[in-house]
Amino acid sequence: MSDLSRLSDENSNRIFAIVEELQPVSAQRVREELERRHDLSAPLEQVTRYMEFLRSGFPRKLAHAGPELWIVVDLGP
Amino acid sequence: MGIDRFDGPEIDYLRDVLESCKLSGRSDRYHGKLEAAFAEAFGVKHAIAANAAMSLLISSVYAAGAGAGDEVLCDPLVQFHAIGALWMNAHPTWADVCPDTWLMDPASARAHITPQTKAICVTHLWGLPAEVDALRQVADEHGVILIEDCAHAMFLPYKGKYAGTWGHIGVFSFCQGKHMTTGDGGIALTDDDELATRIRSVTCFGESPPELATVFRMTEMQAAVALAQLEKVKGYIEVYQKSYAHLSEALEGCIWLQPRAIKPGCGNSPYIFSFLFRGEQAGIDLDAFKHALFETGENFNIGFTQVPAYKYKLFTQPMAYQNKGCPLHRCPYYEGSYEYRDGLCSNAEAILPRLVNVNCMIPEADAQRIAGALRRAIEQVEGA
Repeated sequence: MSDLSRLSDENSNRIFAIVEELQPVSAQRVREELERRHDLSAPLEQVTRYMEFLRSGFPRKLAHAGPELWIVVDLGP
Repeated sequence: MGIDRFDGPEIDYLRDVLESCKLSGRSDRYHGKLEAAFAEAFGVKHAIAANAAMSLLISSVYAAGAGAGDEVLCDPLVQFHAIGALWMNAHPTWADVCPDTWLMDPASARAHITPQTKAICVTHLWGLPAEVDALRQVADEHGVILIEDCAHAMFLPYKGKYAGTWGHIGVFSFCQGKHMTTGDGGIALTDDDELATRIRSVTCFGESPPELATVFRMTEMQAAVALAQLEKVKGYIEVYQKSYAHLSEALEGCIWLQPRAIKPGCGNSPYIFSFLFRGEQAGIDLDAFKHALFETGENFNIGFTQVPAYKYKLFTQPMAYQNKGCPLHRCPYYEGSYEYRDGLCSNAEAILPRLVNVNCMIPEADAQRIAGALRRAIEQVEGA
C-alpha cells in the first residue's frame, strides 16, 4: 500500500499521464492503472482526494467531466 | 453532503408520481405545484422549471433576444453564462469582479456595455450576493436584460429582497451539489410576462413549435423531489451558516489570509467557504501552504479554475460550432471589436490563482474539524 497522503511530482505526473491517455476516466480506473503500471496501491478515497487536489494545478490541471469522470485541461497559451 | 437531505416526503411524492403513471412534467401535478410554490416563496409572478439550470441560462439568453452579432456580458470567474451565450451564437464579453467580494463590479459592467449588448449575466458566487441593485440600474439604463445566476444563492437576502428577484430573470440550480437537489434541474423566476412566455416556449417543445424550441422540460420525478426539498431547504441553510461561522473563525488573527467581504445588507446562503492567499507579504510561500493544506487530509481547493473563463480554449479558439469561427472569431454579423486580452479583468486574473475553497454545506461538527485543520496548516507554515 503506497502513500498518496503527500503530494509528490512523481505521483502527480503518473496521474496526469493516466488521465490524459484514458480521458474521460473514472478515479477507480486511475486507481487500477496506478497499481498495474506503477505498483502503487492506494485506497480509492485517497486517489480521489489526490485527484481533487490536482484540480489546483497550473497550467496543466485535472477537471471534472461529469459525475465520476475526469479529464486533463491545459491552460497554457 | 454530510446531512441527510432526503429524509422528508421525497419517497412519498415519488411513489405518487409512479402510481399516477404520468412522468412528464405536468402543470396539474408536481411540476405545476413546484412552480407555484417557488413563485410564492420568492414573491414573483412566474417560475419555470426545467431539466437543468444550464438549460434555463441558455433559454434566458434566448429570451433576452441575444443572437448572432450580439454580446452577452458575463462573469469571468465562471463559464456557464458565456457557454449559454455561445449556444445562442452570441459573443460573450466580460465585466471584472470586485477585489474584496469577487462578485461582478457594476462599474466594470457599465464600462463594458456596448450597443451590441443584450444581457448581463451575474453570479451570486458561492452564496454571497452581487450588487444587483446597481446592476439592475445599469441594465435598465441600457435596455438590456439582467440575468441572475442563483445556482449558489438559495433564499439569499440582499437589501430586503431575495437574490433572483432583482434582475429580470433569476435562475436557480438543483444539481447534485446545490442547496436543494433533484440530481439535475433548475427553475427560472421572472415578473415579466413576455420573458416568462419566451423561456417557457423554448423549454417545452410542442407538436408545431412557433419558434425554435427544444425539450428542457423538468420531469415529474424531479419536480416531486424538488417540492419536498423546497419545504426543507431553509433549515439546511441555517446549518450551513453555523458551519460558515466556524470556518470564518479559523482565519481570525491570520494577516496573510484574506477573508471574503460580506457587505452591509448582504445575507449569506453558504455554498463554498472561500478566502484569498496573501502570504507573500508575510514571507509565506503558496506552495508550502498548498502542501500543508493537502496534508491535513481535508479537501481544500487552491486556485479554483486558475484563470478567468475568457482564457479557456473554448473561447480563445474557434472550436464552438465545428471550428467554423462562429460566433467569436469570424462572425459576419458581429460589428464589435472585443478582444480577449490579458488584463481584461485584472481583478479576476489576480484573485483566481490565490483562491482557497472548501465546501461549507456540511454539518457543524465537520466544519469544526475542517476549521481545526485549517488552523494547523496556518500554524505549520508560520512556524516553518
